[in-house]
Amino acid sequence: MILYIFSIMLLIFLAPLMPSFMKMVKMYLLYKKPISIFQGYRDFSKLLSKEIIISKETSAITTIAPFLVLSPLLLTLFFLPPIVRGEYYVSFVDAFTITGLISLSTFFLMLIGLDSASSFGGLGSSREAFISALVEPAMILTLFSVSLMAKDLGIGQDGINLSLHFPSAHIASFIFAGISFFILLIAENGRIPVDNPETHLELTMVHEAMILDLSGFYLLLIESAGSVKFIIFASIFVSLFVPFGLNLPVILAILVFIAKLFILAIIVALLEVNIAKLRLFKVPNLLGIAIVFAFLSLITFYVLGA
Amino acid sequence: MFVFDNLSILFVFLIMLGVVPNLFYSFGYLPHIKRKVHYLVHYFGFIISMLGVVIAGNALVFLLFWELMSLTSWQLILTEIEDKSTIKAARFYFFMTHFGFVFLLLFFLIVTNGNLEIDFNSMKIIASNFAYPTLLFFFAVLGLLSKAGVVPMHVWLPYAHPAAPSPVSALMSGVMLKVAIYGLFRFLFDILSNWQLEWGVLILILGAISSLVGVLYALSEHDIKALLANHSIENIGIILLGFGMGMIFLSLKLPTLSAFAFMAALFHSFNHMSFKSLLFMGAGSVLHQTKTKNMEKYGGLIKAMPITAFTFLLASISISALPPTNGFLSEWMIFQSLLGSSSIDNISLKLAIPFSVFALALTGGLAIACFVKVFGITFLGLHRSTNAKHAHEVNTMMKIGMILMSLVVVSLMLFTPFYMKLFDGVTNQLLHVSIYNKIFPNIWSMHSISDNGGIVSPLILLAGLIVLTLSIYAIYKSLNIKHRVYHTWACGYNTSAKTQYSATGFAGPIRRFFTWLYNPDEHFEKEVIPGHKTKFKDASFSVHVRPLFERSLYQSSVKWTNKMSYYVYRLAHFEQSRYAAMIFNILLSVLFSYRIFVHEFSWATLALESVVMIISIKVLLIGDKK
Amino acid sequence: MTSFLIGAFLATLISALFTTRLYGLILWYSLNSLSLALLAISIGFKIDDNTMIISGFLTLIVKSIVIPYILKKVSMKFGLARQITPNVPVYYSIMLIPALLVFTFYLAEPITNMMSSNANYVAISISALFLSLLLIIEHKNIAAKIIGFLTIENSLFLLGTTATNGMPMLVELGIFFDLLMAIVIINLLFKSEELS
Repeated sequence: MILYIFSIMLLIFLAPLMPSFMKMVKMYLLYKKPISIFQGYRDFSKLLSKEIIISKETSAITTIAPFLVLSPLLLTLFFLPPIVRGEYYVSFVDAFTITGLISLSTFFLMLIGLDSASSFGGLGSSREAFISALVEPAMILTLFSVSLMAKDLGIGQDGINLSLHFPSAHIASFIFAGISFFILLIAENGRIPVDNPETHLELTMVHEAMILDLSGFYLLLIESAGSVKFIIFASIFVSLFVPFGLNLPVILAILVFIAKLFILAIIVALLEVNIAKLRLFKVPNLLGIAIVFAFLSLITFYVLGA
Repeated sequence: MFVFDNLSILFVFLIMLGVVPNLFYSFGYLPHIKRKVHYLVHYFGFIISMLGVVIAGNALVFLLFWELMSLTSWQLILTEIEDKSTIKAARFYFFMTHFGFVFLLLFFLIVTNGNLEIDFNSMKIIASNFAYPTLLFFFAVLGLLSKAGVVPMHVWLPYAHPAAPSPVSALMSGVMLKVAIYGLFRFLFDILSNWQLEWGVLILILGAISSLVGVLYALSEHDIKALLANHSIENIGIILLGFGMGMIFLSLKLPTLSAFAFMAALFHSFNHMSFKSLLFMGAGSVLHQTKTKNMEKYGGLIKAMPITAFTFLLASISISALPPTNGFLSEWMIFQSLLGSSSIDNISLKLAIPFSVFALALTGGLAIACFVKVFGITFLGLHRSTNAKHAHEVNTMMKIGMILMSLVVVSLMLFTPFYMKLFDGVTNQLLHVSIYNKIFPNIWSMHSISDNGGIVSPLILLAGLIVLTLSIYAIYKSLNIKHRVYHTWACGYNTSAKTQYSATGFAGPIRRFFTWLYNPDEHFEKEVIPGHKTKFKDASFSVHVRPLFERSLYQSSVKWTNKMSYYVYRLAHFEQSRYAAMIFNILLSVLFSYRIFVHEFSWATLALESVVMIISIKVLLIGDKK
Repeated sequence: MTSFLIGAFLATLISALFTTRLYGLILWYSLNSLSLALLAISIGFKIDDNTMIISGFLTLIVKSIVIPYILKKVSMKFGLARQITPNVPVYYSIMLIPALLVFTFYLAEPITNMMSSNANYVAISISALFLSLLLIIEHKNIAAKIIGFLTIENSLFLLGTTATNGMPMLVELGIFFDLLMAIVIINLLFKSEELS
């Protein structure tokens, strides 16, 4: 139980580091002077001390929804796979519920976009709705196929099963599911081929457009929700698709887990430096690949594994 | 004459749950209806006839109440005749509902051998001796599903539901469609025995297509009630996905999985009843205040109508299948039963079921987009018309109706084990397996039946969400942060009612992606300032989506019927000898087909007789080319 | 290992179906041939069949290095359009490709029932055949059509390796020479297209 609480605290601690770390790597690769890895914390503490400006066009939704954007994601942190052998994990919540909780958070985020009556907010919500609608089927098919390989639908149990019995008989469909999930990780977190988190240009904005009119503590809630979402996807990815290191001694296992997260962040940053952002109507091509790979993963599981 | 088994009682309960809040809402709505007596007579007649259908014990009573239900709801659509489109919608509804009735009548005439007063058990014996059970199945499906609004018989829903007064739309969409689902349960279990695997597959495919088509047309709709009607098509599709999986499992002799899938279908029926009624009530209140069904004229209503807005929000979250609401739980159950397909042996079927998973998941994603659109455009932002500006909260009776209905939604969410117990009673009666104890070993968590199924614990999720939200809120309060109210920034541009996103714009990306289905008719006009190329004074953009099924199936069949009847008319009046030749050919083909299909089938006779047919048509009917 | 390589074969083929760049397509073709070559080599070592290993190495050199290189050179020489948009829109492909896979598994069932070993691999190579036909159908561009033709050859090779544990060496060598000849002819074709 102590380990369980410790791992949640660890994830909460790592969450703001990840985006700053990716930004750091990117700046380093672009020969810029890199920002500190603790920039996320600095931003948050600065936002805490600022006053909140509320637009007079907004309604009760803007004052309620930021809390509801963050809380489902924080709740999801409790349901993630264990990072150490023998650690307590939640067995009473399955993968579908986690996708549902993530959608719940997105739902309120999209409402915030429409609440301030600005044209940018609507633009962001509309695009986010489009992308997340296409993400949903790929996500569920991927989880379906992983659950078949790990013989359980609960994500915690999956992590343990996969680390004990690596599905070497189904390696092909395992890798397809991994590719599909990686594309979803990029799409859901608004990383570069899908969305560019660093610009404020109406042609490219998706996530940023929805939160233009938030400030102070509310902006802090949304920004931290973004980093928590990334850490959720990253830790699910490394526990399910790189299921190694769980059986090591406690300290080592935790270090391996953190190392895996950072390596994933480096890979995402490398991709971001090398790929140009896709036009909005090219995004379905990318998500289409995710959907087809998810299908392929299921089909090869049934056909080759039979 | 009447049956009161678990199935009937369950649906009586469903109807009562839907009707009681509706009564309050209806009485609040009554002052705005001109023909009060007409409305009340048909309203109560409608409720009684729905109750009558679900407790009917023989064919005569069933058909009587079914027809009464159709007629009263038809008259209810005609309560408020605003323009010609209402009359057209009512006529269309009348036609479609009787199209279904014909098939029900045929079905009953076959299974009762003409004696309409025998009970279901005797019908079962007759049906099991009938040589073509698939024919009976098709009659039942056509009769019932045209009422339930399944693709491709869904076309009347987006016309008929918006035309009725709002309490009636809530009843029609929330409750009447479930009566058709009741019919499906009753007919398939109590009358048709020996099912075939293909029946279940057919229902599954119909469900998958309906759910996708429903939600896609809902997204492109601007009329709020038509949008909700399209969502009914989607939800009926989801119910049928559960139902179809149940049928497939039962055909493959997997009764526990089958019971789980049927329970999922029943649970989604209840959930759809609750949130769809609530949504129609909310839409009715908005319509009542703003006097228009066009969503582009709403906006900012949450400030004037908080109770309507928040009950509508609750229903939106639930219908979008977001945890921990009841809509999520039933969709979760349907997902679990689809996942149960991994224990099927038939490899082709096993490979095909992921397509249903895909359809259901895409539907879920699009439903979220759709309800963000409805809620955001209607209740958030700035008002887009003067009517929306002067809107205020509706009267107390209507508010009570909406609050009661949202209590029903919440009760379905909180007391899921209790409802499951009821559904378990039904599946126990139909399939003779009881799985309640497997689904709910304790009241906290809900288990799936399949081999590698999942677990969900709605109450813990709800409690967790509340605790986390409140603790973040407590932190926020303790920091004591200053507030300032200012106008919207929006990158420095002006914000006005005109610069906000519209419903058309919101659905834009999705409409563009699914162009092949929508085939939109776009009009873009702008008045350019002379001397400039890009600056313009005034611009308008409108999109009209052409309904694919209506165009391809209905209008073209009308066209063909017209052509055929003109041809026959011409024959009968001007070319008597050819007319006689045609009758000769039809008689010949009837006799031949009797020989081929009823007597005994053989390819040789088929070939021989088709040659004879072709020759006789060529010689007698077409004649020599001049 | 075998199942992974077959999976990689399918994956590269499907990625090729979604590609909109000519060089990307050539890269996917090269990776496709690479996975095929590794497959042949691994099966060859497993059943201890020298001809299989040799043909695997030949595939590695010819199909995954030489042919893509020549194709790239040729297309650069003639300045072919690098943007190749599939005729079949993405939203169709998303449903069409899985449906095609399932459908071919369903169709190939009687054939696979006859096989004693590796039955499912046969089904996969037949579906790969259909996918490469789809690649030819969905492109108007001649270069993309040629890649489609080459992937058909790849899937036939896969069928040969997995179903019969290797065709006779002579046949394999013949196919390789045919391929090289085909590349030369393609060169001429490009030239004629440029002239016209």
